Formats: sequence, C-alpha cells, structure tokens
Amino acid sequence: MIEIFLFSIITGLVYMLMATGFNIVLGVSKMVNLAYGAQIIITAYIMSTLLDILPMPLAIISSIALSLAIGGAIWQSLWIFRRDLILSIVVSIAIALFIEGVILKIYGARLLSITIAGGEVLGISSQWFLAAVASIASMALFYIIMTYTMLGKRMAAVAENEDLARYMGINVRLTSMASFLIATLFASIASIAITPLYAIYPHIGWYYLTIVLAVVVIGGLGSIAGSLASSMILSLTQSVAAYYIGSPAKDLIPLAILISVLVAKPEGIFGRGVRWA
Amino acid sequence: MRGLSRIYIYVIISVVIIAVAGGILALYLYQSRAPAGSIKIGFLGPLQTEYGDAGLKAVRLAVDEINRAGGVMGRLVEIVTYDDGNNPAQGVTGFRKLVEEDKVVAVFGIHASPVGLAILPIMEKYKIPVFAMGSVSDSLDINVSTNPGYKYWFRFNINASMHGLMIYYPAKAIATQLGLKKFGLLYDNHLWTAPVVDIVKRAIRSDGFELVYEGTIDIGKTTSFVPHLTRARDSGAEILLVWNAYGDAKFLQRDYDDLKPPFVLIQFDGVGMRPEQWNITGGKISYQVFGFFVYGRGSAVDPKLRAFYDAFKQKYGHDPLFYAPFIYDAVYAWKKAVETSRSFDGDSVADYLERNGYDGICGRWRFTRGHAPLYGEDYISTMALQWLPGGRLVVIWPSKAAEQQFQPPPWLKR
Amino acid sequence: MKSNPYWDLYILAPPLAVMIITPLIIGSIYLQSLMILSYLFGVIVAIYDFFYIRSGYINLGYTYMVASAAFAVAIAMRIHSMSLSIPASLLISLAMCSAILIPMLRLRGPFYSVATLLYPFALAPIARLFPDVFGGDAGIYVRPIFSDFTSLYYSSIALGVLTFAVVSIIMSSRVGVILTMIRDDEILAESSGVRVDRIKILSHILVTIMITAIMFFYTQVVGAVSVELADPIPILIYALMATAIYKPGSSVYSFIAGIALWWLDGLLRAYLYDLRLIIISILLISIYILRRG
Repeated sequence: MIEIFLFSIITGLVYMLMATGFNIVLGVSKMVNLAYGAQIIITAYIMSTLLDILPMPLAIISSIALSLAIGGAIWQSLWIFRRDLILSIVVSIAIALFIEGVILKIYGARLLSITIAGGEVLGISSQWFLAAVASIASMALFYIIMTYTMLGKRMAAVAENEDLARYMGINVRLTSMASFLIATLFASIASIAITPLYAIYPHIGWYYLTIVLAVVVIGGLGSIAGSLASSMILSLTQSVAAYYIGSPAKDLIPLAILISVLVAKPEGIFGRGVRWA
Repeated sequence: MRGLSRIYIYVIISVVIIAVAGGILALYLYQSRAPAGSIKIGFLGPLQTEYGDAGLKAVRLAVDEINRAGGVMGRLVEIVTYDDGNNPAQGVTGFRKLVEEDKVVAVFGIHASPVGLAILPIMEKYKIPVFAMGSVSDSLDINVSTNPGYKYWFRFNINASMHGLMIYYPAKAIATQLGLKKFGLLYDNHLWTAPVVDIVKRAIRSDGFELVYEGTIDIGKTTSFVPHLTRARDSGAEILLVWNAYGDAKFLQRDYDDLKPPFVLIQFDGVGMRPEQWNITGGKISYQVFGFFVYGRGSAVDPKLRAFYDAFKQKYGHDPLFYAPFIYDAVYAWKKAVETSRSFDGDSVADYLERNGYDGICGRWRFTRGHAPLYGEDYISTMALQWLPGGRLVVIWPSKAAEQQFQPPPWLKR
Repeated sequence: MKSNPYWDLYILAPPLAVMIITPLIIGSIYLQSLMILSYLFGVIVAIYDFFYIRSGYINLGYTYMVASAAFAVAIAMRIHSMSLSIPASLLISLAMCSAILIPMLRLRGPFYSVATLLYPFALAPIARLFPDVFGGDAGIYVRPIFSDFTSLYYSSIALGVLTFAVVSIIMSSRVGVILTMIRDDEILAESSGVRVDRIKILSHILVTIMITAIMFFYTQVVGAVSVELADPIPILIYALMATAIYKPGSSVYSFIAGIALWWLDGLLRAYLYDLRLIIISILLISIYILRRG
C-alpha cells in the first residue's frame, strides 16, 4: 500500500503543477487559456527534435526557452482580446488547433517517445523522481515568488481587483505577462517530467487539458491551494480505486466527484464565490 | 484594432480562402487528369492517426509495386483518399463520395467499427468490395454472416475475439511449460476489450485454469501500474495477461521491471509490439512476452514477409505498424480476384474471395461466414515474442516459428 | 438588437430553394446526403447561436448535448413502435442533457465555459460502463424509417424550417429579450424581477427538444451513432466560427455559415486532410478578429 501512496503523491504533484499554471492565468488575468494542453505538447516535440542535435541539458534548456517564446506570443494574442470572453476562448482554441496542425504536418501522426532519465533513484524510476523533484521545486519557487517578491504581491493584487491594482500604480499588463510566462514555464517543466512516460501524439494535448480542467474545477477556479488539494484527491482516489475496484466502475469516481462539487459547491472546494470576469 | 489591423486581417482571410480554393481546384484537376484508362481505388480511414497513416502507406506501397509491374489487367491503379476521422457521419459521406463521385471499384481502410457498420447498407447498394483493416467488432461479423447482401465486406484483420486468443494461446503454452495454474487479466477500460475478455475467460475455465485477478487500465490516465501489479501479486497470480491498445503499456513494462513481481507477463501492446520498444523503455522489458500480429524479422519468419518489411522501411524510413502487412495483402488479394475473374465487378471479386481466399505474406486468408479471416497456425496466425537481456527479441510461439522456448525470469520462484 | 427577425428569414429563401430543387436535377445521393447533413448542422449551429451565444453563456460542452440526443434517438429506436420511440427519445435526451444544465445555474463567464468543456469527454466513459445500452464497440445501428432517400430529404428540410419558425417566435418573444438581458447584465436582470433561472431551464428544455428532433434525421442519414460524435473538435469549432459571422443571436447567418463550414470540412478531408487543422485555425482566428476587432 505504501507504493500506492507514494505514486499517488507523485502523480498528484505533476497534476498540481499543470493545474497551477492554468490557475495562475485564470486568476490573475482572467484568461481561459485552452491552448494550455497544446503548450505542454509542443515542449515535448521541440525537445524530441533538439535531443538529436544537442546534449541533453542544453536541449532541455533550449526547449524551455523556445516554449517561453511561444508562450509570450500566445499571451500577446490573448491579451489583445481579453475584454471579450468569447473571443479570447476562441482565439486560445484556434491557437491550440494551429499548434496541433503544425505538429501533425511536421511530425506526422505517429506516436512519439522520448527518454530523459533512465535507471532508478532510491528505489523508484528516475523519471518519477525527476517529476517529483521538478514539481516540488516549481511549487517552492512559486511560493517564494508569491510571498517574498514584489511580483508575487502584484500578481495577488491584480487577481483580487484589477482596477484597484491599476489605480495603485501596478502595471497590470506586465504582471499579466509575467504570470503567463510562469504558467508556460510550469507547462514546460510538466512536459519534460511527464511526457517521456507516455507515448505522445498531436491530439493528446486535449487529454492533458481535461485533467487540468478537472483539477481546476474541483479545486476551485483561480485557487492555488484548491489545485493542490484536488490534484491529490483525484490521484489518490484513482490509485486506490485501481487497487480495490478492478472493474470499470472506478471510472465513475472522478466523474462523481466532479458532479458532486458542481452541485454542492460549484466554485470549487477552495473557490471563493461565483466569479465573473 | 482598427484600420490597418482590419485590412491585415482581411488580407489573411482572403489569402487563406484563395489558397484553399486554389489548392482544392488544383488537386481536383490533378485527379481528373489521371492517365487514360486508369482504375481508381479508394482509401477511407482516419488519416491523421497512426492507424490510418500506416494503412495508407501500405496500400501505396502495394499500388506502386503493382503499377510498376503493369497494373491490374493492364490498367494503372490510382488511390483516392478521404479522411473519416473515425466518425460515422464523415465515413458515410466519404464512402458515398468515393463510390458515387470518384467511381472507385474497391475501398480499402476503415478503422473504426461504427464507420464499418454505417457503410454496410451503402456498400450493399453499390456492390463495391470493401477491405477493412480494422473495424474489429464482432457485430460486423454477425451482420455480414446474416445478410447475403453484405458479402462485399472482407476484414483483413483478426476480429476482437481473436485478439484475446493471440495472447491466451501462448500464455497457455507457457503455463503448461512451467506448470502454472493461476491467471490474471489486465485490460483496457474500453469497449474493444469486452469480447476479448469474454472469450479468454471462457477458455481459462474450459482449460481448467483459475482466474485470480482481473483489473482494468484507464487509457491515457494510468500513470502508474504499481497498484495493478501489487494487487495481481497479492491475489496470487502466476501469469498476467494484458491487453492495451493505446500506449499505456509502456508504464506497465517499466513498473513490472522495477517491481519484479513473481509472475510471468504476457501482453498485447498495440503500440509497443515493435523492435524499437527496447530503446523506448530503456531496456526495461527483459523477459517480457509480447503478442505480435506479424513480425517480419527473425530467423524463422517467412522471407516474403521480411521482404515487405524491408521494402516498407526503405520507402518510409520506419518499420510498419501491424496494420500494414494485412492491408498490403488485401490489395494483392483484390488484384488476384480481379485478374482471375477477369472483372472489376463487385460480385465477381466477392464471390472469388469467398470461395478461394488468398495466400499472402501474412499467411493463408480464408474467410468465415462473417468474412473475418480464420485464425490458427494454418491460416492467419500471430506470434509471441520474448525480449531477452541485451535487447534480443526471439519468437517463442507458435512452435513451428519458434526460435527457442520461453525463458522464465530469474526472479520467479520456480 | 432591434433587427426584425422576420426579415432575416427572407435570406433563407435562396438556399432553401436550392435545396428543394436539387434532388429534381441532380440524382447523386452523395450530394443530397451531404446537403442534408450540412443543412442539419446549420440548424444545430443556429440553435447554439440563439441560445448560448446570445445569452453570453459560451457552452463548450455543446457536443455532449448533440451526442446525447443522438444516443437517445438511437436507443429509443430499438423500440419498434414509433409512437413510443419518439416520446422515449425525448425523455432519454432530456435526462442525459439535464446534467449540463447544472453549470449554467451555478457558474458564469469563463468558469461556466471551463466546466462545460469537461462534459463531452465524460460521455465515452459512461458509454463504456453500459455497453449493452450504448452499443458497445460498434456504436448503435439505427434502423431506417423512410422508404426512400427522397422522403427523408424533404422531411429534413421541413423540420429545419419548422425549427427556424420556432426559433424566430421565441427570439421575438419575452424569452428572447430576457436572454439578451442576461448577456448584457444578468445581475441587473435579476434585480429587475426577471426569473433568470426559470428562463434558463425553459430554454435548456427547448434546446434539448429541438436538438433531439434534428438528431433523429441525422441518425437516419448516417445510420449509426457512436461516441465520436461528442468530440468537440471540429463540431464545436465550426459552431463557434459560424456564430461569429454576424451578431450574436443572428441565427440565420449562423445557419448559412454552418452549412458552408460543413462543406469546407468535407472538401478538406477529401483533398487537403493534412492541412485541415491549420487552415481551420487560421480561419477561426481571422473570422473572430474581423467580427469583433
């Protein structure tokens, strides 16, 4: 049973990392970035190409850098249209489709596999160890930013009340961009941590997105503490259910949690009131 | 967003529309300008997925070879494609287009079972032979066997139930070899595994084995198989049979290697049944057994099959997915039927194949009443291969193709 | 929002005329089935525009409703009596679609959209849990009701026209006005005494009934229903594109755009399948920016 707990926690950490990125953007900039799944995928594909030409550490850094550049471009597009909800949602979907289409054209439909870390550390697969370390480090970094830096305070202020923040002299535009880049960084890290373990294909970005959405909706839209709680709840129930209930019935559990949350507390476990952009 | 930006957007839209319209027009004219006297076949499938991609490549390879040798009855063959995205509405639309507009004489492809089901009535009406590379649901077989009008349908792939036996038979051989009795099953939580599991459970019962564990895989969401493996171990399983078609088995392979539980692992890994799997898992698949639909390399393998593998790899740069040799045989089967009956007509082709089948690179295709191929050592057989330390992949089943016996992993108590 | 909806209906006349005349001139069933499917899709889009876009609730789980309706029809059609199948399909459809009403009553804005996006992805696991009901691997085969394709063709057209009539009546009624009020300022509407929740529920029921009727004809044309129908890509994308062509709630224009997009999709699948996503995404962005920039 210990193994199950251990692995649920690691899985939960990665889910949380992905969901935090989405939540930052949703909370600070009130943007629904449905291209987030595609952002996770594109890092993996860029990395698969760079791994052939560059040594691994350089390849990782370069793919993160390139992903950040793409993230900046995506942010710019979404920023322009953020006053219009429909438009920003649609633009993010269009960007996701465009990325998927480009990947399909360049890499084809075949499943892609990449290897980053082989072997074992402390009795668990190194890839998992890497995932755990990366997630914890990222969350620690995020905590430091939010608590001890001016940027963090600005992000919190903008998330709370954008107009008031602007009156107080905070550059909302820059704060929004910074938060989006942090989110992109998390997406890239999650990608490097987790996609070597899956066989990825262009369409899989949407599956990552649904995991993120489930975590976010259950935990509370815009709430970071909520993502932590819900990602752990989801991954734990999934693993425990897998152990005790072999049958297809266990599929209903995440669904049941989701519907219960929507009925009882639609703003999520940690959400604060019904939020409207 | 005024003025210049607006003009800019108008320009983009106009460019895209003109480019698309121009592209479509060009392609339409290009297709119409086909060499005089050529004959068209259709390919209908999910072209943006790995299955559709592999199938189309195999068909193209076959058609290129046929055309180089002079075509079919002196006429060059041309392929017209349509991407159905595994969606019945698109499948029906695409099928109608291929048959009514492009006037194809045969259709190859079809991956999704719902698409297969949806096109049967149209196929019947136009009497066009359909060679399916997928669509493995047993309900297709049932429909075809009970309706004589559906005789034009031929599936060049083993059906769902047979996916079960291709793992069960070698598992049974291993169990017999080692004196094992307790079976465990782990399979995709997906519609496709229902008939698979059904037939295997019946076989386990009738062969006197014991089923001690049953688990399911959440496709795309199972990031660790440790719960499943520990549960199987705790249930006392001595051999674990796995069916996964979506790539999650990669995890299973690593977790099995990390955990080293006291049971044999034999698996249907739809994605991982390929030589590259050793590198992909970082070598963490020693002693694991994989069911392969076809395997074109290895000492005991049919040289024609190996030749196909080589030709495919040379043309496309990678080894073929398992669909490929099946649908490749389908194209040649169609050619044989046409040339023997001296006609492209659907009835002649269907009647010929029904009566005679076809001897291809994958084996002898002989069809049941439901027009699925007979499964077995004399017909369309599958193989079981075992990975050994160092990256060696050897055929261990069936006995006539086996290079050696199954080697139990050293951590097994026996 | 003061446009006369009845004027818009005159724009329907030319495409309708083309559709009515076509079978008399062109015998190709391929073309006719393509026309019917695109026509039905256009109506689906018009309904989406009328209810969701107009009210400001961007329902990203619309394909869940469409697929549920299709399954409801397919399941109900197993009963061989039409007088029982029709009410059965409506009941099943209402039951399945009621789940997606929950976010609408509890969430707003981007949060509503995010929650609804999850529904289409939930349909496949549900279908897996009840393979006997949802048809298992091969989906559900729907038995043909119409004796020939022509009667199916004209019946579909009739249904479409009927749907538009209903939509127009509703648009110019109190419900239509309230939906627009909800979009402009829901809180203000509520405090003005409008029973917003009631209107939402009522509209949801109407939408479900209309979609079910349309999916009845859709399943007759296609002959099979499977979970792929719930996939938001590309149906949702086309719906979003089509509704952006003109002002929100302008169902007639969305209808025509929907038809055009269905045709475009077919052409791309036939001739340029490997560029389909790229082309669609560029078009999607361009259309939206054009309309709203």
